[in-house]
Amino acid sequence: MSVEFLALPVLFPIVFGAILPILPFKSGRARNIYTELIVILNTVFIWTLFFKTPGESFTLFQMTNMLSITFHIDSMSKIFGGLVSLLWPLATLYAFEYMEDEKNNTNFFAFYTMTYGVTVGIAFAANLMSMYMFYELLTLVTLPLVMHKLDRPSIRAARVYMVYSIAGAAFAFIAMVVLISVGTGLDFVAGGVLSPEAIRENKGLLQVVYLFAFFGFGVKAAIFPFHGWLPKVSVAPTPVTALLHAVAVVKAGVFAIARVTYFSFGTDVLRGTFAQYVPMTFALITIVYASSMAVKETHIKRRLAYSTISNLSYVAFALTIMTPAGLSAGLCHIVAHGSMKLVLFLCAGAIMHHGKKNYVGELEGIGYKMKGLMVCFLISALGVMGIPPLIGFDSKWSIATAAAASESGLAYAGVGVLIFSAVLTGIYLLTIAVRAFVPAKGYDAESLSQVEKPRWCMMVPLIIVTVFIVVCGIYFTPIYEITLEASKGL
Amino acid sequence: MSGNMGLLFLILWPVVGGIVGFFMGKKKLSYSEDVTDIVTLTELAVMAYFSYLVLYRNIEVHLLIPGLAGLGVSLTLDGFRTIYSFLTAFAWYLAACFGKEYLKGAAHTNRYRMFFLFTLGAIMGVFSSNNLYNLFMFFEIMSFVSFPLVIQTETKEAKEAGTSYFVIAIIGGLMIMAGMLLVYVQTGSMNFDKLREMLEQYGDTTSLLWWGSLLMLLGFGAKASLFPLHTWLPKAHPAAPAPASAMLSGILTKTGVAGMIVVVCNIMFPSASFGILVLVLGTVTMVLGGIIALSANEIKKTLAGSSMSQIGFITVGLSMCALLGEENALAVNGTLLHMINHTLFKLTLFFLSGVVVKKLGTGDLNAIKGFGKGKPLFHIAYAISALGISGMPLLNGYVSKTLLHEALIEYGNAIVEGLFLFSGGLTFAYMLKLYIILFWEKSEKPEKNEMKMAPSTWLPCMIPAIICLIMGVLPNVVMDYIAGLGRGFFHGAAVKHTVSYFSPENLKGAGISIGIGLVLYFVVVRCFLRKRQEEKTVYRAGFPAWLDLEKILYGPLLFKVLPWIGTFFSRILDWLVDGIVLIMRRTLYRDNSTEEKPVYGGRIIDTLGEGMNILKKGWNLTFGRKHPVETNYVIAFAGYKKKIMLYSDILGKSVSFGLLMFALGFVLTIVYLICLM
Repeated sequence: MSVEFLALPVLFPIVFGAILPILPFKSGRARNIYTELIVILNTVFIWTLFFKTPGESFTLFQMTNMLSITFHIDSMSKIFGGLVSLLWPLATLYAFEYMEDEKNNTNFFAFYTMTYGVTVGIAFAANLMSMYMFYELLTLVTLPLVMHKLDRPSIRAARVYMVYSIAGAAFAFIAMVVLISVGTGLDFVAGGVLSPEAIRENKGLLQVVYLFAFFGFGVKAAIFPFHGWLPKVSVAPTPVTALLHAVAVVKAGVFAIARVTYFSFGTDVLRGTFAQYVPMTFALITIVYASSMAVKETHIKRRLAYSTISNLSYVAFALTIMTPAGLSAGLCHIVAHGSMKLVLFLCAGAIMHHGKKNYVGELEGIGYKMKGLMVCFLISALGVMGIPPLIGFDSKWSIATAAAASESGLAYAGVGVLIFSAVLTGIYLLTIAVRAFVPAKGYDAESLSQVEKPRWCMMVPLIIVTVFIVVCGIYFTPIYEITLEASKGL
Repeated sequence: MSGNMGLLFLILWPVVGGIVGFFMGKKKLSYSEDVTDIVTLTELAVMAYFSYLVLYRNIEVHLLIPGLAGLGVSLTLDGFRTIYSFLTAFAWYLAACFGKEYLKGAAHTNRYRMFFLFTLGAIMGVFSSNNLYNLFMFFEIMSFVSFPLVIQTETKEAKEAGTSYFVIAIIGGLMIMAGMLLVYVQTGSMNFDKLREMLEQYGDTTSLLWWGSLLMLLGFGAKASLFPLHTWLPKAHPAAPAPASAMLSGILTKTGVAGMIVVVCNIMFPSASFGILVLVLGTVTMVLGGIIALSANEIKKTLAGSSMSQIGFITVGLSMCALLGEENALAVNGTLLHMINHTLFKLTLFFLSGVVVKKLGTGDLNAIKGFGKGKPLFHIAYAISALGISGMPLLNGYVSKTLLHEALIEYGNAIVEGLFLFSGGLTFAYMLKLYIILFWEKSEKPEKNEMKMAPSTWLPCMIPAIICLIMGVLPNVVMDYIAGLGRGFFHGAAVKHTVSYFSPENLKGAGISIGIGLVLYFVVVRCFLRKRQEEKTVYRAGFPAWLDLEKILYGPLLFKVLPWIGTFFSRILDWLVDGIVLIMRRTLYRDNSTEEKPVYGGRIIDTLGEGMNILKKGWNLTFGRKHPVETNYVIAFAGYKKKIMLYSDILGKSVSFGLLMFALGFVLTIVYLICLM
């Protein structure tokens, strides 16, 4: 396939999403069909590209001889792009039902579709400059989605989100400049772009600047102390929180960290120095912190948001192990957590939309009303805890073995933290599931009569992703092999 | 993929059957019953064929599928695994038959049957797995699919028991996972046979292997109700429906024991430090379970306590397997046989208790007095199992307990031996207590006790009892043969000479136990647990409720202390960020002082408002007489304007703040670039 096609899955949804508000749709239904069609078509493009990957990269435009917007596909792009492309059409379908009572849906779906293109742009970026551009674009294009309701809490959340993101990206920008001046270029090369002389001369500088990059991109990955925006943003409509804050935005953060660590700086200059230990410590602190906060939190979506923070730091922890096994484990967890957390968020959204319940305490006995939904929730919750044979176990196991194999003291501590966090995960997720099926005495059966059943638009995506969690858990080899390829830099 | 795919069939067939049965049962409830019958019967038939292959023709059956379920699936059937897989299929078939009458008219039977079959599949996986990972995986699946069986009746007690079961299953599961990870980290292997060779290299008590094994022991022990994670069992067994509690007690606890065997006899063999630990835990379980059973005032609770106590016996035997090293032949035989015996006893006893509860609606000892009068089959089945479990000669329990006792004598610790005999006495005492209540005491309402049992109910009660009798009468023929088949799994030594089970020394041990039992019955039960009230004897619960470890220790620890530590830590971290933000806000980023103005819209807005007010007056006088508009538009418009100003202000500030940060980044960059040049 010719190389120009590489830009297609990026530009196609951006263009067709942008013209959505000016198209004369007769009904919301027609608009929905159009949106879904665009999204599914784009997924088809992406998967065609995966099977017939062009060997070279494609430069969309050249700014200077160092800076260009370039796309290519390697195994890492396949992992992130594949995950996003599988989940996007499903989440869009879900959004139709969830957004039925909201206003301004045309704008919503316009931005929602555009975000797809931007996210794929991050996945397909061939150099740091392209990734940085799409990374900034992601902030801007998701901002209207976050403040969709246009009430005070939404606007405040959007403001917080923007301040955090842009400030973070500014830090990452510094790293980019240093890489231009010290390294051989911005392209993503397995093992980094730094020559041995460059490393020798600028070792200290590079390590400090790596910290800038880590925490800069770590803002989107919600690494403590830059995690504050994520729970606040959960005021956004659930399709947004589910897809953007369990799959696209936050995973873009960890994906960027992986790229910068393994493909720009290279692990040689970082391993065994403070540039490894400081990020790793912060990742571990985040895991413990966020899982504890999740136990304390009673709002369902905020609880899930804290759970996301903690799981993102699993990935960040895996990445900071700085061995190929660590990269592979981190990527595994991106896929695993993305799919599992999507299910959890979608379930929470369905409960909020159809059951009008927002707090954990109100969920007593809801499993009897929404049986299929809560079964999906239970399966994903068990997956997040890491119970085999679900996908969460496979990824957690690879993180733990990668950490143990690296034989550094901090990584051993990390294994302990993983286990501690698994216990807390059990507490904060399974209390929801247990309440739903085994209500405490004196629960309010009356209020449950208001609960409606979710319709097919919500149930189909949920069931598909849940099946994905189980099937991929049982047959994990393909995902594992592609992450292995990615860790070799293919 | 290589090996016999039939092993996969054993696991998947009940799962498929469960799903099919569930959907057919939605159409007509009796279909699910038929499907359950067919599935369990075929499972038993296939398992019988495998038993023939493995036990008679000595062909070991393997299955290896690399890459499936993450780390690959490796299954095998050797002697022990075949015996227990067969027992499982057998017990499941009996329970399916027994369930027919027992569950008639009960709610949610469709759901029950589905999970009943799922559990069978998972347990087949547990018993046939050949590495730690598979064992753990099937074990976890089993824990979760058996949960609906515990809460089947959905009463308050059942829910409480279910929660307890669930939480401990999860904690146990995480312990196993953590332990497995530690073992894997140190040795790089999860294969049972490879791990056995690793002990010499890493055997000391400071190694990860040792601590990993400890965690796994506790995790597997949780399912076997080993102290200290035993608390779920005395609640869950009474709460579940009788066929399910028979399975929980007879088979599910044995999966935990199988895990413990792997840890003790395979990975940690023959570590003395580990063996002593197991011995202590086992002894505590043995005595504690007996006390719980003796002091209970409900029939199924008595049986649950008894299960726990017998698991204690088995665990003590297990520790002997490790501690006696190369001389462990008797201990291995005793442990294995006591496992099998206990499964058989508990099938009969729980089925019988099911008959009682089904008829009378309660298992309270005061309500079931005299229930067994005039029911010869009931009487025989109960007598065989009760005497068997108490270790009466000529029954199978005597054989296994004698073997365990001989092993203890060989080890030579008087305290443990004494407690062993004492627990044997406890067993006899609580079984005697039940016996006297069921068959000798006077019923208050004899007419309520009359009933007729269907063959599908009394046959499952009788069959295990008859097997017990056969095994007990011909110990050297039947029991030695079975022990020889299962020995490989324990890596036990061969028995050097045939044991003469009915020698005077061996009979003496049983005699002492029964003597202690009689004393305990007449002293403790008659004097302390039974009172005369208004011409009637009343049994009361003797075990203090406040001594529930779950309430006084685990609950607070798990739900209060652990999250408290986490939250304490989080609060400090939270304060850190908030504090910095607060300080920044008070100093660098202070708001400009703005005066609060009264709501005033400005000249144009006010004029507009006045105009609207005039229009409104006109409207109210003409068309709007019935529903006059009463808004003051001057104030309303001013309000709108203020809102718009406020929102644009917020938005403006946010953009400016973002840009400010952005600019800061650029300035830093440029300063850096200048320095570079």
